[in-house]
Amino acid sequence: MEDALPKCILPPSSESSWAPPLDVRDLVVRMEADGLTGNVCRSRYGFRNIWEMAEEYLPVAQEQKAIAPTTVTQPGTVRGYLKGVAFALPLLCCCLAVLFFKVSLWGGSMSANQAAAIAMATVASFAVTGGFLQIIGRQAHFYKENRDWGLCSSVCWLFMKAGCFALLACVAAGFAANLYFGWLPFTILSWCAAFHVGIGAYLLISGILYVLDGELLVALATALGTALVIVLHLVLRAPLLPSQITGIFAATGICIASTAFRFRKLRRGSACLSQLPSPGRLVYMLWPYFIYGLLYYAYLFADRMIAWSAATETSSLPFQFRGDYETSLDMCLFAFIVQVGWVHIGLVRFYRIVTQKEMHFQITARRKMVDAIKSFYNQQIAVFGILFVISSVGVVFTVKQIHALEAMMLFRVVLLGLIGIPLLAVGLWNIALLFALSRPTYVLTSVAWALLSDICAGYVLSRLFSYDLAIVGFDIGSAALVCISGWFCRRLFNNFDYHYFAASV
Amino acid sequence: MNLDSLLELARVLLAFALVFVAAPLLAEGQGIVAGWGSSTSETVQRLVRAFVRASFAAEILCLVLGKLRLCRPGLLVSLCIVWAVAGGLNAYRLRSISRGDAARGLWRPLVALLEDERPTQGEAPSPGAFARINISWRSKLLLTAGLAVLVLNATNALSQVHYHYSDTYTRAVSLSALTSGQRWTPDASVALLAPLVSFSGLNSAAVIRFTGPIWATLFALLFVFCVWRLWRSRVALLAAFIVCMAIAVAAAYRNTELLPQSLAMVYWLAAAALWVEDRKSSLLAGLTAVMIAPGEWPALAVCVAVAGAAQLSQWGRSRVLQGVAALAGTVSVAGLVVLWHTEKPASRVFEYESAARSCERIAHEFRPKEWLVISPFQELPFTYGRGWHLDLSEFISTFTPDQVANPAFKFPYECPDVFFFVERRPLALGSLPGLRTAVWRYAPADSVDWPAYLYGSPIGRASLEYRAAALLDAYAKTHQNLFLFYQDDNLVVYHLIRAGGAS
Repeated sequence: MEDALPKCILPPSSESSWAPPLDVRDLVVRMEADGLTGNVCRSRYGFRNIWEMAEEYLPVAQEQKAIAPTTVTQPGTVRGYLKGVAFALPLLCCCLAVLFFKVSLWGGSMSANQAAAIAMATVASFAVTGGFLQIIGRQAHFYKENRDWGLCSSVCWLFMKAGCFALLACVAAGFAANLYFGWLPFTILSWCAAFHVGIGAYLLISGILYVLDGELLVALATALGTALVIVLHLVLRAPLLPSQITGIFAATGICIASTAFRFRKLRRGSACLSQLPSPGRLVYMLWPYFIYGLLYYAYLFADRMIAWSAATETSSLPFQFRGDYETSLDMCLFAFIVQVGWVHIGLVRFYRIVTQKEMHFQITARRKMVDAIKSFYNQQIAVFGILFVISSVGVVFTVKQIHALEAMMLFRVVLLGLIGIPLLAVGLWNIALLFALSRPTYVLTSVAWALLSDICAGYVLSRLFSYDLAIVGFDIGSAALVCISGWFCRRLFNNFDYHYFAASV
Repeated sequence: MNLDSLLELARVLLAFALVFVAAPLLAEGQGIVAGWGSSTSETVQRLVRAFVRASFAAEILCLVLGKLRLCRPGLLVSLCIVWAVAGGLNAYRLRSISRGDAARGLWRPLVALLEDERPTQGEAPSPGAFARINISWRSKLLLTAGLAVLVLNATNALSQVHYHYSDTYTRAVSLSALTSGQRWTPDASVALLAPLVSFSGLNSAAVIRFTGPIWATLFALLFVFCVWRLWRSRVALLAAFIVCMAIAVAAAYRNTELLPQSLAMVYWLAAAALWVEDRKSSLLAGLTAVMIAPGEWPALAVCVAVAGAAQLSQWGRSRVLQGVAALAGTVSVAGLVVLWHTEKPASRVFEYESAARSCERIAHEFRPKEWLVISPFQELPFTYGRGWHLDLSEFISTFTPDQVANPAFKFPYECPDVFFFVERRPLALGSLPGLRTAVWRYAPADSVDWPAYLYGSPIGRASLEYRAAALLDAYAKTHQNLFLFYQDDNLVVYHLIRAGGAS
């Protein structure tokens, strides 16, 4: 016979909201939900049936203190928007470093071959860690909302280790493929591998810190890493690549230390009783999010890869870093940051609107609820439109005003990129809604078609005409993303109450 | 023969197995290993069918992509993977996963693996399930014959780098142009080989060198298969096997370079072998052969005769009629074998072996696209896509000895490393191997273009090499950056190191 009380009788260790049972039937329901069947009650606890056990433990359960639900204060529009764009703080830090010191955490003045190899390593880091970042975000946020910091920490470190293992596996595969195809000289490949692992680990730990609302910490770690690069390279005259590797690993180390410290602080006082789901269950639950991460980053960087590998007949490597193309996309990135910041706030508003409308409409006003959601969706699209106009005008104006900047980039790519950016932002907004309604397979379909369109169009145009026309592939892919994900969203909105209920279940 | 050559052969073989066997089998939703347990005839037929369909697909795809200048290795590999994976997905019913029918998909074994589940009594695979995969003695015989014939056929390709036919040089350059997305004149005998360049990661010259033995082996195996299909007797199979081995032994160390006619013959033989059981694949093989060598009528006639005999031996009710049909078919197949060996022109010398080997050495030792070889046209296939090549005739017509003798003179080439190939003993282009005397193939008066005269006529070639040697001699007297890279009785290779070049 077991002496320990069943978990459902006591308040949860994670301090999530809990109330004592109202009566014996309430307790029976909770016990059954906890897996206590009649047989279990008989064999483990020595009761004749579950009712007898519930009657026995009801006074104990009713003596426990209720835990009031935590009131989550919704951030205001400006604060929410700033949180939405906070992911760009490290980028801002790197831009300032380039502007004042001509070096950054990665990139800078190096030979064409080194630049190409390190650019490829960076893209590969994003692509490999993309899936892990998504599942960290998904699962860790779930435990965070439940205030189960023990599980949150476990899942974060587990996926961090898995991500690092994937990075190392990718390096091993890269060396094996290079041995066969002979793409890169060994020295360059070794630098490529070091940057790949360093940047990948930095991205993974940043993803965990973002879950813990540590955007400022990530920015600070990036700033310190960049400062170290500046000191090593400019003051101590160390070569650039070793300085940058040191800087990246230093930034990663700072992030890891602060994450561990933060988790320890959060877990203090709460014993971790529960366990992570089994590996099979984790894989079954998270595979769509993992694949989404892979596809999304592949889509985001596909046009670059296509442009870099086009017209390389004169290059000693099978790809060539196109500085003008990259600078043009970097300018578009500013417009993207401005627009994508609204995705976060749009999602917060979506939940707020749904909760409000649920209370406002009666069960018979189903149609009105659907219309209200569609109207809200259209309003958000209008906001994206406004942000598009503001950011695009800002970027074009800046490029045209600063002639040195214009000379460094391809204006055609800037314009075409600016067309694709709002489509991407709206696509991401649709994806956020589809995830909110628990439709990850719709997301996968949308992103897979976007990637396919991007690759097909970009490849053909870049090979037949000019390498910079790879950006048209990005535009076509973004248009496909918006159309397909938008179509799925509209389809779900037509039967919104059912899908919202199904998602919450 | 060295380890590098063996590895290159292994890579081309691997690429061949992936493109012409594994990918079509997967794309058709068949396992690669599944089916080995079935009869030898069925297994071989599946493999021949897969080979024919993959060849036809590769032919059409590469001709279209080549015309669009899109026949790039990355695209070909991606398309091949998509083709195979789509077929594989279909075969293993992975679609059931997205429909939630986990029991039929791959989820069950995956979750069992992750959860460390033990299979239940009824699900446990019986040991006999693997024991059933039993390769019959006929299959073993065919495999052994294939390997032996391949080894014998490949001896020549493994031991020498240069080619024996001028057409092979042209085809190697054509294959390089095709796979590097350059302007390309469609050539079906070349398009077929583009996927091998992509999957092997080798240059076109090496692929062209090793595809000869591979297709020659296929021809021998198809011959054995055809004879066995006609007679369906072990004696006939053994006899064909012995004949095949005898021919291979006799032809060992002989030239196995593939000409388009020989390539077409392989497909005509495949068409004949498949005609009775699978007419669609047989027609595809015929179409491939027509595309490769449209004028190869003797092979077509033999193919029709073999197919007719095979059909007749199947339809015929009396044993006598069947025997006569089988005999007629065997004679026809034997005729094709004779044609295979007699139709090829005699081997000629178009390049010194040391010149081709020097190109290979340069490509291995120096960084890609950062070196330039200045030599006759024949070195172009070995440098295409790996470095740069300048025609020797262009070099001698650009500079004069007085000009290069100036200490301030610098060659206007951007590559850090430049190599000059100068023949000590000017090659008699197109001469028979072993002959030292020149073969006069061009009368100066008949030469319509200057390079043809310079390369084709012994006098022209001698003057070309003399002029190149004189230029370099004049340059070396006043400059310190010209070194000897390689020399033998026939050839000298000079290495010019410019700023930033190898020390």
